[in-house]
Amino acid sequence: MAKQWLNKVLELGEVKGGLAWGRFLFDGNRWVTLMEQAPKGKLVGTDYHGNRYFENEGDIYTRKRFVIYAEKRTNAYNPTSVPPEWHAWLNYINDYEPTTFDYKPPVYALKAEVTATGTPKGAWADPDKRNWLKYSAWAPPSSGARGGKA
Amino acid sequence: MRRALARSWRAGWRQVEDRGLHTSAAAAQQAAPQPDTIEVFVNDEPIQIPKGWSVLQACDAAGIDIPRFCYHQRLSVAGNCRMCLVEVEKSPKPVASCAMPAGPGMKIKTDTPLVKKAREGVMEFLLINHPLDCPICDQGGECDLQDQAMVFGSDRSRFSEMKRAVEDKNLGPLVKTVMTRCIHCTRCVRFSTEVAGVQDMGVTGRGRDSEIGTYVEKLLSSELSGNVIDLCPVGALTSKPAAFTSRPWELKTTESIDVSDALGAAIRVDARGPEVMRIVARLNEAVNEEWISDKARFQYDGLKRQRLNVPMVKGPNGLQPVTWGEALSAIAAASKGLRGTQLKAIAGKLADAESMLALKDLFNRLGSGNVWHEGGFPDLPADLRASYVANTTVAGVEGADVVLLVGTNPRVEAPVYNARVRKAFLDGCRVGLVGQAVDLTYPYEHLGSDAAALAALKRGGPFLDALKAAKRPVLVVGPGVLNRPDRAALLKALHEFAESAGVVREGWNGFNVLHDCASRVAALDIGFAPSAASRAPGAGAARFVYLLGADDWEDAAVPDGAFVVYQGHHGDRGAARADVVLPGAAYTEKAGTYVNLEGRAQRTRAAVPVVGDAREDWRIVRAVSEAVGAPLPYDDADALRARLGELAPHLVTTGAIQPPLWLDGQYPRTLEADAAAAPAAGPLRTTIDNFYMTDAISRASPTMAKCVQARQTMRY
Repeated sequence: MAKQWLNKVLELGEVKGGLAWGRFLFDGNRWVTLMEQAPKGKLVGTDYHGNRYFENEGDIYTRKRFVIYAEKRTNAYNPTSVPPEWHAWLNYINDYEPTTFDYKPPVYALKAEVTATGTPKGAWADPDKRNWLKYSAWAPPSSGARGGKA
Repeated sequence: MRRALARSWRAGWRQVEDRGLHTSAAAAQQAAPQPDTIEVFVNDEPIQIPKGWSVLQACDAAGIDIPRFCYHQRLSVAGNCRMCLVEVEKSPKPVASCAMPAGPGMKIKTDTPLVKKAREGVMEFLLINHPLDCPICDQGGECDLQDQAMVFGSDRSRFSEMKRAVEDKNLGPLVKTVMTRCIHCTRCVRFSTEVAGVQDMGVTGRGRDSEIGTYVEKLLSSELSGNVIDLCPVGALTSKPAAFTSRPWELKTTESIDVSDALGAAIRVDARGPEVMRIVARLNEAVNEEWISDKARFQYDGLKRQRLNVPMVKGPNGLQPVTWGEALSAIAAASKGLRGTQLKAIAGKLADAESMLALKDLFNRLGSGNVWHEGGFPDLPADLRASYVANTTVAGVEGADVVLLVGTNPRVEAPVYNARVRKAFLDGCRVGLVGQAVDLTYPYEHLGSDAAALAALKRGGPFLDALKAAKRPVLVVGPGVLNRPDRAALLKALHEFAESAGVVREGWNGFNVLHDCASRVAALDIGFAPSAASRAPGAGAARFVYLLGADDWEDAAVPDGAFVVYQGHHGDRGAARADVVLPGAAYTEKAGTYVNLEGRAQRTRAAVPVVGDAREDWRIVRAVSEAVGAPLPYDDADALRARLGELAPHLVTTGAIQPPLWLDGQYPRTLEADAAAAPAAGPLRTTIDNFYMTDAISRASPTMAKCVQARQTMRY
């Protein structure tokens, strides 16, 4: 039983190889989704980013629907990769499954792109933002030493 | 009335006491009103003011604050904001106090309900077209409109129509404009026209459609353009490099001195943590009034680029970071056994007096007098102080009636000084120039460009006659004379000219020398100049060169095989040539004495900490002295300043000028040996080719680079 469960987890999470296991263990959200919810879920559909959407009828309301992101890198998945039609279904805004429901986007709608979070100057992901040095040091010419922030 | 009488009696008695007159007859004489003053009543309090003052000035003198936007004491009166309305007895309407001359016996009321209502009405009109963007406005927290709206503004608007919007103007890389915020006080227009002397800004349109701008898109071409940021009472003109970086209440302010030119303008360094966030002008009537040049204001971002933060020693792979101990022992090893002219020191444009003195003392202890100050004229004879400072003083040039500029372009050498000369010109002063013809922002008589023109001027002519007839003639000798190889002959001629034309006379010294960098007067004061032996043609090439922040030396000054030590704060030409690099402190990071072009010793203050492993400059020299086995006798700043005071007492009385002695006609004799050759041909031109990039800091500054680029690409 436990072995079947684990095989299902590995299959859904596409976890292959030792390194992938390590990542899997250290990513809390993925761990919970895959270990607790995924094996019981029924695959509803896949969006154009490759995210897979599941529904588990046996769970309580608001926990039935979940997503396994296409992004496999640890802590790198981005909720903005969920397109609006799937977003509405996933968050119980409506019950129209985008696979069967003919969703008509408004004329001004653009294709949902993943927000490139972390690119602005003030973002925490910017290495300069986390650097306490407020000056750039001089690099001697032809020494091969790196310039920029020390 | 009784109170008024008692007050005037007390004032009269004070005058009597001041003059030491105690007889009743003298008291009666003194109590009579002075003929050039009038008495007015501000809120029933009598006050004596000079004739010709405005009502607003009378209120200021009485200690009553009058709200204002357009009035500024250094600009002409515009009277267009109407915020300074006061009530004057027998006047049917409130009057704009800035534009109303005060009359004798005038009764001014500033705290009546009528005045309050009038100001509230004006404020309501001003706010009609002012956007509500204080949360994103850089002026927020130091905005006159914000402050005064707290007093006179209403808590709700009665205006239900559309607010107007105005297109932002591009004034170049320094001044950011948000023209919708403009309240049309025209301070910026009056400043650029009257003080900066460029006819760039103006008002177009009328009524609701009036806009401040440059007519066509063009660069604000003045070297003083940043001052419009300080002048603007709202957030219409703000600093572009400092946009959205800080709020005024986050900043720690430090009062300091500018070193970007020889004027030594008073500045305030605003820092947040280890960063200098902005530099603004500080009031010093004797030096810069309240203006500073664009370089002084905007070069601060260079303080964060190309910094030297660790000592370095050159190894097989070029300069490598080392500890202080390793760097000092490398210097000790390289200088071991060297004496006399084998050792050489060159001080840079930004060196402070303390570190130059320590370096000079160190070299003297090592048996060397081979100390130079960089630039084209390191060996200017400095025996007589009056021969290398501006004797008329910076403020004194304002009162001149004839000014002769020789080999100088004050517009780039010291823009604020140039504004003073322009002020004198506006007061009717006649200005002549011998040297390269340049735009000085005011018209002048171009008397020729080379030494021959000077000789012709000396022979006679209308300008010489004007100079002789003048009450306060001024002669300004610039670096265009001092950096020439035939300097001695030219200086001799100029000194003789000054004597013969009566530029120097009893009670008036009109001989001025304008320098092009901050450290030179201090260097000359402490005798940071090569000894006769080191100047002699037979002196051998140096094998050990110590560069104290020197980046602009002549190629021949640093021989190829020499071991070079560079001590400074920026990686520039000097650090690239060096075998050992010692990281020092920039002027915002140390307390250093600088002497300005009129001989006024002033001290910078440390606003931010030094970067990385850097140290204060004189301490580095002290440590080097220990390493090379010639320890200097001072261990702290006080002892060093005591030594400074021994050598040149005026260097420790900061903020004051000690008027130098003028040796009537004796000075040119010291030049006789060198002045044998006749002056050479060629124009007397300024040493500064590029105003925005003169030293290591301004060369590292991205904003200054943008200014250079804007001069090339934008119309101006």
